[in-house]
Amino acid sequence: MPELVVLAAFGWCTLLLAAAGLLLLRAPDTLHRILALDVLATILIMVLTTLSYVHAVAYYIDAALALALLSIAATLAATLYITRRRQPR
Amino acid sequence: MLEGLLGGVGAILLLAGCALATIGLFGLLLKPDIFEQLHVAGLVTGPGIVLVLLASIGTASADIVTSAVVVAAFVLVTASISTHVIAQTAVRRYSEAQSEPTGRHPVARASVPTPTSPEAVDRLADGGARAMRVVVGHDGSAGAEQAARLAASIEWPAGTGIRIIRAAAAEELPSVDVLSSVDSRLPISDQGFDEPALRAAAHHIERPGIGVEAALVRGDAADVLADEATSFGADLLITGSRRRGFVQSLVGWSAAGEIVDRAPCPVLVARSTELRTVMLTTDGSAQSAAAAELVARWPIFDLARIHVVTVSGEAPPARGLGAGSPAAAAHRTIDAVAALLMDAGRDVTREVLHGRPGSRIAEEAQARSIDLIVIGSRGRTGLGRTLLGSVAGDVLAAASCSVLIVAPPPRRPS
Repeated sequence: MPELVVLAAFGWCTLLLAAAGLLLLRAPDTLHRILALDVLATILIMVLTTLSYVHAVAYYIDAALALALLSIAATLAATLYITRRRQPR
Repeated sequence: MLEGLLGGVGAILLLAGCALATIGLFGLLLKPDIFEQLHVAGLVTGPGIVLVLLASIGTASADIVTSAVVVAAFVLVTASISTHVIAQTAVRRYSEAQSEPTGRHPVARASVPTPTSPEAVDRLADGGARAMRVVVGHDGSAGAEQAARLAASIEWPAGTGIRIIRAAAAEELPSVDVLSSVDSRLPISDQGFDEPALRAAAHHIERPGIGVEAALVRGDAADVLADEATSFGADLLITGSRRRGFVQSLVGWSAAGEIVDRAPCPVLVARSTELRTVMLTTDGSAQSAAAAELVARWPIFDLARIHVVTVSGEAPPARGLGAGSPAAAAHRTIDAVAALLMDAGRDVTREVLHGRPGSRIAEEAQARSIDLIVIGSRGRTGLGRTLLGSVAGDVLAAASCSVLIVAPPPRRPS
């Protein structure tokens, strides 16, 4: 892959990470925040993947796999929590 | 040559993935609505990330490609799961919020024509000192039919008010738009949700001096019944029982168990059609004292034969009972409870059982063809119950007769 393309993609993904952070900050309630975190984790996986292309080493992707695992666990736990919680009154 | 071609394909995939992720994030920032956000987020968490991962073929490194393919497969599975779970939660939350703008009572109600009006039920239930307020949960299943039959067979004291509540999940209602609420001004039949079973149950239970009303309430059954019991000031909640699936019994989950956890009053899980023989289990705790109190006081047990049991873990020693032994303590407990019941004019027998409490109580009830087991529960939930278990839960799972569980009301978040 052309070095330039890989570097550009890495830089762009980092910008997207900032955008996802903005999305998280702007989220009006818990459910929006859960979705924003899910997207943020996905973007972070993209960043780690492109980073591994830049350095031509595989272990960043392994870290990304661990992150993906934590992300789905967090999403499930958080949604279960707000479903089970009694409505305060 | 091949390497150059793969490099080109990889670069194109990488840029396409970045472009899709950009479009997705742009949409996310543009659209405030959760459902529209879920739609565009799918672009990032689905095709976007997968294209970036597939671009690994451009690196011509076996390590990177292998890792990337594993992650891509994993992400393809988890992305759909998390989107589904978030959407499901959103449908529940927002449909509840929309049906009641004040947000105090997160459910929609629709009344079913019954012998007495809701106001009359309220007035009646305030009448006699011995009158009771009862909520009957009805979900249209065979177990719920059982609960309704049991409620019809009981000799309720005059002035008793009974509410039959059909809890319907949003997805059960036939309306095309899941978010539109049940219109509480219309009769249920006009909303395409005719409930002959509910009406039949109401007419079956109805008799002079007893007020019966029926209503369809939208929401999760455990939530709805707990809310109704709270707002009605119910003394008793009657619900049917459902057979548990294999997975559900593995994780210790049951619909009736969830209702018991949430309810503000004692819960009767109906499996029999009458309450002639009652087995009161006691262990000396505050909850079993409360259970004994109910059996002594409630008029529906006036004609029942009461068998008081307590379970002591150890078998009786050969040479009499030592005063300080657990068995002696069990006899003292049971004698105190039996005395309380006899003072109230109940027909009482008593017995000390030995063995594992949950299964032993269920066996004994089976052997004596008991109609109803009354048991106190500490109301342990969540982690505490997972680690320590619950005798009441074991009895509920093992018994084939009705079970009345007396638990302290759940703690409310402040």
